[in-house]
Amino acid sequence: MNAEMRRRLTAAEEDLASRVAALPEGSDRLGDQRRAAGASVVATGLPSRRVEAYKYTDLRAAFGALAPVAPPADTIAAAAAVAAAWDWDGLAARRIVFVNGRFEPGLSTLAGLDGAVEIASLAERARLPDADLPIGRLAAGNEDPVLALNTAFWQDGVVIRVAAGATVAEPIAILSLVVADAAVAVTTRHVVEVGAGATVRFLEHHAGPAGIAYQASGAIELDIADGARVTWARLQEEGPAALHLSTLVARLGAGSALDRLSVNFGAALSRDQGFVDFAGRDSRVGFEAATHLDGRRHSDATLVMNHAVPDCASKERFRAVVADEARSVVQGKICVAPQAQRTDGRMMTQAILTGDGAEAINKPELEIFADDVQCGHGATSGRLDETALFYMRTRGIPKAVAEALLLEAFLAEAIEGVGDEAIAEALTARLRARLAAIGGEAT
Amino acid sequence: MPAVQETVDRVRAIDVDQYKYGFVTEIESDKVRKGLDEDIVGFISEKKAEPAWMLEWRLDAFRRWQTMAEPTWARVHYPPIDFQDLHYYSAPKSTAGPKSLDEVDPELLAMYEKLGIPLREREILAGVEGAGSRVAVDAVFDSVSVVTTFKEELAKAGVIFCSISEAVREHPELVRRYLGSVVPVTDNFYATLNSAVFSDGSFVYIPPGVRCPMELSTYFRINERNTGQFERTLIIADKGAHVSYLEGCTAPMRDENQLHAAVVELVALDDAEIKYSTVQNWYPGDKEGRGGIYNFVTKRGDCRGHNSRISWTQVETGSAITWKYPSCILRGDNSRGEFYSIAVSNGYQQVDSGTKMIHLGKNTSSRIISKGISAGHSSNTYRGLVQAHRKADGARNYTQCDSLLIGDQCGAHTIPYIEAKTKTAVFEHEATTSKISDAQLFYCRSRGIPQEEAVALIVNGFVKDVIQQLPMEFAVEAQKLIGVSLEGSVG
Repeated sequence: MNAEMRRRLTAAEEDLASRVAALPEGSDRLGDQRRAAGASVVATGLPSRRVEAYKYTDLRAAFGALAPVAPPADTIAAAAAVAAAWDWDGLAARRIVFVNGRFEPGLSTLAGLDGAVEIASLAERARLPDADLPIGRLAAGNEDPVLALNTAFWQDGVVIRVAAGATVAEPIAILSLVVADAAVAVTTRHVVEVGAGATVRFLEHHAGPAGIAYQASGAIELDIADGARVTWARLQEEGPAALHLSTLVARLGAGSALDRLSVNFGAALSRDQGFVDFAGRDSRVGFEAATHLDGRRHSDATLVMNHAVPDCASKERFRAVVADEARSVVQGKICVAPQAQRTDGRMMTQAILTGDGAEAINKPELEIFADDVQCGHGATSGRLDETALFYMRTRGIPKAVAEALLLEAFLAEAIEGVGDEAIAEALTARLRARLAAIGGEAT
Repeated sequence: MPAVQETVDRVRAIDVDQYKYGFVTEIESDKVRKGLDEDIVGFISEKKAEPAWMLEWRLDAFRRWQTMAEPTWARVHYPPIDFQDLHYYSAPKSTAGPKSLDEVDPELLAMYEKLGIPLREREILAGVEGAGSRVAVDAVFDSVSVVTTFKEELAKAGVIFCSISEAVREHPELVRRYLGSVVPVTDNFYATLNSAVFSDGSFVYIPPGVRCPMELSTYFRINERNTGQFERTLIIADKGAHVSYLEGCTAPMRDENQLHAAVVELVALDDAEIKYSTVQNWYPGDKEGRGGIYNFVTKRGDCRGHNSRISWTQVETGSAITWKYPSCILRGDNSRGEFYSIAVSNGYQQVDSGTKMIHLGKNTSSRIISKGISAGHSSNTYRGLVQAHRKADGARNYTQCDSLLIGDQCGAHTIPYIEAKTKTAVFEHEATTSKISDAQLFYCRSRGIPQEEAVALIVNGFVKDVIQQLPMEFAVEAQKLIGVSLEGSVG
């Protein structure tokens, strides 16, 4: 490394600097927050491979240019996109719809939603005088540049409050769609507060047009109060040319639980990053990820699991099937603070490579300062099990079918880990359809 | 589960204030002025009576070094080092080319006796150990090699074992061909500094088809105040050759920190095998974290030939700061790299160590076993890279790294980088004792062995595996250092 190398700004970075400079002046808290976040990224530049957390996902190289902010979608096109969107096999009856980063109350189906759930648009709230938006409460101190970019430029989002003690029967779906015929940028930010003892399920779905190199960024701050239980499943099916950046910042109170599943099928380049803080004892987090990549896609799953208090457990499982010349990156870090005794932290990352040019990169990290803990990680990468394939073929199952079955079984295990049968079934069906579609192309 | 009492006691027994090798030898030395510039580089080269090409090589490295910045990515913290406030050369005055041991300063001989390093061949031959366990020793004191034993006997087998400065003079063709071919001059900040100012170290060449008739070893001792030690070791195993090499190191207790920046290069040609073992016991600093050695070392082996094999075994207990990643470049087809490590940190020690296994050839395999034990206020990090390149068909790696924490003031960290770039690579990485031993535990328990005993049995058996990688002479010492139970391990 040569000393005092001056960083040359990329076109995207120059554009970024002018966009940050163009953020509206004013002395309100929200404006300050946007400007400070934007300035922090301008100061460091877009994260490149020289930044340890972005070693394998070089956003400085990936952002050729910053796309213009998406214009509101044409009403008919937006309605058509929503009508065409997958509804989780009927599970997503109540949907909060975002098209091109804007809340679409007319297209959302909130009628009949449990009274214990309060939903409001962030952009609308921001227009109120002296709006005190709950943005950045959990993310304070988080210096991640992707999150900072989101904080600087979010267009809209929702604040969802689930009343204490409520058990919400139907899952709440958040649908983020892009309707565009040229590259656009879409940025959403959601804040979700789950009251003490509440139980609720969320479904998150991202989709967009094929062939358009749009840039989608989403961030969610999820505050789970004492004793609450949250299931959060997300399906990322962005268009194959898209760039998708997603951040989850979560905090768990005492005795609470979070089961999170991330299924990744789309985007040319995607990064799904999570920052989870345990703030109260006896809490539990399950983190599952199932990723299927083909072509030259690049997917990055990054997770920092922060055990700051004693007696909490976290279990993570990342599974990826990597075909063609795709690349899967998993960076998982379990941090255990000195006082976080009796922590149970387990992380498993597994990849099956099916393509000749496929790559799997795993970086499972442990950072442990407490002595009475059980922490571990495992990482494997390899081919499909030849013996299993052989066994199935001797029973008359064609090779392509046998392969698809084995891959489905491999990824479905992570999907089922979410612990909710209905959600797991819907997503496994989606996986099966995808594998069949890709297998069909191959033969 | 927390560490068992037995483990706590054993680790306490090797605590920093128990350091046995902290004495200073009062000996007159020949020291160059403090600071580093081209004149100093020239002075070192002249002292060693080096040919012009060697001086040019050094100066080139020095010029490059001046443009480089210190690496900051490791998980270690220390005040900035003033590289101009060090002596880059120090040698005992009376040892300018002693013809025999009788000409060596008796003070020096007494020191080595105190350290238990056998320098008198006769004594070793007559020793109770018997001729079977003879070890040839190259003793490096501050910046110079004091003596190398068994040279004649080794020469009969065609083995060259001498100090690197002697090799530069006597075997320039070998040195020119291989020096810097594994660790390039520009490799990293400390390797480049070493290339400019390295003073001594060992040189080993094993000719084709020769199995080195005895263990070779180098014993490093830092004695002088405010000096840096920059040793350079180059080991070449020609086709079908075999060598086992040991390295040991100690230093006096001093309040200031001292820098040790070595470079070790191993080259294994077709069918050759090199086994490199280290028991690193530099002064770790006192209880409050004052003093101790900064051990910033670049060690790399190149399995250049087909079917070659390089094995690193290290027992790390010393140094205030350790920053080293003994690596293997698996270039030849069917080559194999191994890394066995036990790192114990205590007091305010900081360890950031691990390995790199770079799979380039076909059907290459590697194995990494790393055990970290941290106690006191120490920090112990395993950092490792396993990488299979696109054409490394059939690459295979197995990695296991476990850490044990004793007390809540210390930290243990694991940072593995696992990069598979071909679907034919099979990589397994484990960092949980319970994961690997579930089946074994069940087996033991089904035979009526209680859980605790079963764990101890399995863990002890496993540590033994690592210890067995060490040559017998070091195994005893190592056993004392790490004879600890690894119950309660965390990944």
